[in-house]
Amino acid sequence: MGRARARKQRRHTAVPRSIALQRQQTEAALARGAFQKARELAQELCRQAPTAEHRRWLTEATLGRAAELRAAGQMTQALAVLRTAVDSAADSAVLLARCAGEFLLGGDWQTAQRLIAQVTDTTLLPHLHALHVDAVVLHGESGLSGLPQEVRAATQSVLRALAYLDQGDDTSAHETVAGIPSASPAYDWKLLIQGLTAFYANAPTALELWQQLSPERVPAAIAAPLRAQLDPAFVAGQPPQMQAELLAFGQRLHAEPWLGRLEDTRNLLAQEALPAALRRAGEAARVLPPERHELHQRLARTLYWAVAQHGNDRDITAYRKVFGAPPDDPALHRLLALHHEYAGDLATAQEWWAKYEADMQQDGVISAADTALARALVWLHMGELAEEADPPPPAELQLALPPEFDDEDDCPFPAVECYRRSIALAPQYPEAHEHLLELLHTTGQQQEVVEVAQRLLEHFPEHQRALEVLADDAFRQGRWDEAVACQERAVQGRPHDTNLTARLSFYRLGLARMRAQQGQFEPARAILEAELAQETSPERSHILCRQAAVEIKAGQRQRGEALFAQACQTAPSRLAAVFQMLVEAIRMPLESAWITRLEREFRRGLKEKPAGPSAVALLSLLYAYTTLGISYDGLPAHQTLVMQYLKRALRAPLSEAELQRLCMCLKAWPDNKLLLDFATRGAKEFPHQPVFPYAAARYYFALGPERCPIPKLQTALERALTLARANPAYAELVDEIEGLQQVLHTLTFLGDLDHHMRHFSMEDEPPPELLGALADLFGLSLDDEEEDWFDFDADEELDEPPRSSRGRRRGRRKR
Amino acid sequence: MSDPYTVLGLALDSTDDAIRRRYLQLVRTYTPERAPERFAAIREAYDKLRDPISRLRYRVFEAGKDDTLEAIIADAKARLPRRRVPVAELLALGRKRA
Repeated sequence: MGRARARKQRRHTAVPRSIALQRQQTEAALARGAFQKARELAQELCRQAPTAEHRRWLTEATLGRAAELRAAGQMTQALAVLRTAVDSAADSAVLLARCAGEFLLGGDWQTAQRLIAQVTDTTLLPHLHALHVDAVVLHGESGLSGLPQEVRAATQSVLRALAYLDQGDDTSAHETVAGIPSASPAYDWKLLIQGLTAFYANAPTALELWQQLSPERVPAAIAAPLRAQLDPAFVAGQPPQMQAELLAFGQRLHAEPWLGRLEDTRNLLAQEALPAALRRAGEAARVLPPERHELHQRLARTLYWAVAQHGNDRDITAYRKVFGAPPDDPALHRLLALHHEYAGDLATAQEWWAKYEADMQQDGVISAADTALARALVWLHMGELAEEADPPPPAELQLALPPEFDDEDDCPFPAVECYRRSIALAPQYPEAHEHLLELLHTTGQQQEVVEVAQRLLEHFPEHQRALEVLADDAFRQGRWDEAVACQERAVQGRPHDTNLTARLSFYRLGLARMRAQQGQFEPARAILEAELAQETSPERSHILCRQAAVEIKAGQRQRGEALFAQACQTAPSRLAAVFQMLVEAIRMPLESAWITRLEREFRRGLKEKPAGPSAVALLSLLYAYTTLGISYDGLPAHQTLVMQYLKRALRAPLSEAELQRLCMCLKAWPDNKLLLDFATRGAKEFPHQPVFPYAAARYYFALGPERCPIPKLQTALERALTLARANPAYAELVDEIEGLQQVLHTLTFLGDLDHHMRHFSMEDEPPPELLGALADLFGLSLDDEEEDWFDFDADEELDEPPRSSRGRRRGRRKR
Repeated sequence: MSDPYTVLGLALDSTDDAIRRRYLQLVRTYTPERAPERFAAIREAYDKLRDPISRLRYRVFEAGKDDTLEAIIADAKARLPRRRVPVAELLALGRKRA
């Protein structure tokens, strides 16, 4: 049965549809561009209810159908369909104009002119003129006469320019349209033609010109497949079918076989089919024209990196077969190093880097002038890998770690050795010195830190970090004048660094005391006056106490008393000022009567009702003395008294800032239960604050491997991390927490597994701890219940065996 | 980003002076106002090659890492003579797509 007959039969047998349903179907057909279907439905609607809206739908459907037929090259049918729409279009100027436009594009000039004459809305005329120009260019000069004179001249220029273009005379084509102004309906054709001349000359202006084309005009449609070659964003903005058409047209512009193979290789790489991509790249490499040697090199290097990042051992072998080894990696040792590095196997990566470093000494791998520095860079990189593979725990945490892990280092070359080798090869290059300095500093190797800093200064006399380190060392040795001199030079490099300037101020105050002890009161006074003048904070009691001590030492008792009274007024509390003055009196030292008087007042003050400001001030002073390594007679006793005061302060009203400060300072005594107590109170009163769970974690960690409740530690760390990540202000804390987690995972997992494996025989039921450790290693979870890390019973048993929740995991590295 | 030598159009053994001259020439042509993306790519490439240590570091650890087949194909196409499309074919395309 023929299609038309079947359709006719369906129409006769169909159940009559309601008007509402037909309207709905017509609108839907129009919306999805099914114009023939929409036309049939609209015709039926017009027969049953010939409203203005139904007639408009019929016109729109008819126009759409005519455009479809025209695009399919069925011009006669298109015009025949179009003629049925003329009467119904007369109601609307817009539809009439669209109808005229379709007649223009169909080449029926007379009907188009007749309809244009009926268009009363003059704003529609420029668009019709533009369509008219497009139609003339597409169908020939016979339609020229209907155009206004100036538009006719411009259109004739376009036709001449196209003829020049066809003859290959791009210069004449370009010049012929040069005079068309931007307001002319023929301007888009000028853009197209000048863009074409640029395109054929590989000039970048082609894209700039074509980007100005009006998308609804014919020139834009003609330029589209060529523009697609230059403008990936334009292609990406097209529907999928159009994208395929544009790219297919582009293939015809470049018919070289090797280009197709390169494109295949690209597609295979995108699909992560590396072996197939290597084969295809090999085929492309064989047929690349010899004069395109640089393409061969770039192709080889791109595949080199693809293998390094995503390949396996077989891919490396395949790469060698296809491309051979590049001159700068003659044994492919660097490729192997990179491959293992990307796979996260840093120890093996380091071994291959060491082999590559040996290769570099061969001729041709790297220029002779650069060999030493290049080798130094490789050793530096190996040091970084060693640090990443086995991050050094901070010195303050080392005490808490199990001793069997102290020397663990799974890289064949420890970081310190790598950095030292790098320095030996290129001492003039600062980075290895700096890495070594920081590594030794982190691990608390003070003597070595000083040696490295001194060597660094030999090459870089004003190296800020080295000066800072030497200043610190001089201070530790009591050489205050040297500490001040080094720190002053360090500050010159970064005068706005408040950490540096605060440290300088501290050294100067120490120097003032030293001068006073030597009987040089005037220099001491000058230093302290200068410090007081520079102090921007209203809290100056530390300087005033120092001045008071200097004056009393110099025999100026009344002046000293006045300064001490001033200090008491500016200090957060009198008790804090008394403590500072007492310490100063002991360290100067002043007469024993002074010390006794202050000691009595201090102890009396400690017995009073605790207050937040005093608690914070006293602990801050103790914290400063402890972290700076300051000691004096009576410090242990004072520490005990202050801790007792803090214990009573636990029940005093404390602000969020005070609790934070107390927890921060108590980290200097991380195994003191007070840290956990204040952290617990802080976490309960200020649950959004990450500092408190982190402080609790530091307490657990400090308990050491035998007593540390690992699950509580992990829960506290995870909670701290979640809270810290939610607030960008805690970015540094996030790093700190993640660092601690990394150390914890590394150290606990292996120890845990080792412990359980030693006690586990194949006949036994596997202990839950071992199952837990293995489950964590493979990313499984055996724990159903949430640990309550707030279970802080002072008498709780903490000697359960530690259990790790996560194994050593290293993700793929991104360099 | 593509290979910095390719972005700047330089040979691997280019000197400091040649790199600087080429960089200045390119940023005068591709200003941030005219071609912001190209300008950024040029700046990034220059940063990798501006001094001998950066250059050496790039050569030892990263040479070719940022190159892509997409960029290689685009460069290859840009240097190939383009086949001219007859005007009649272009107009037929216009008639089809109008």
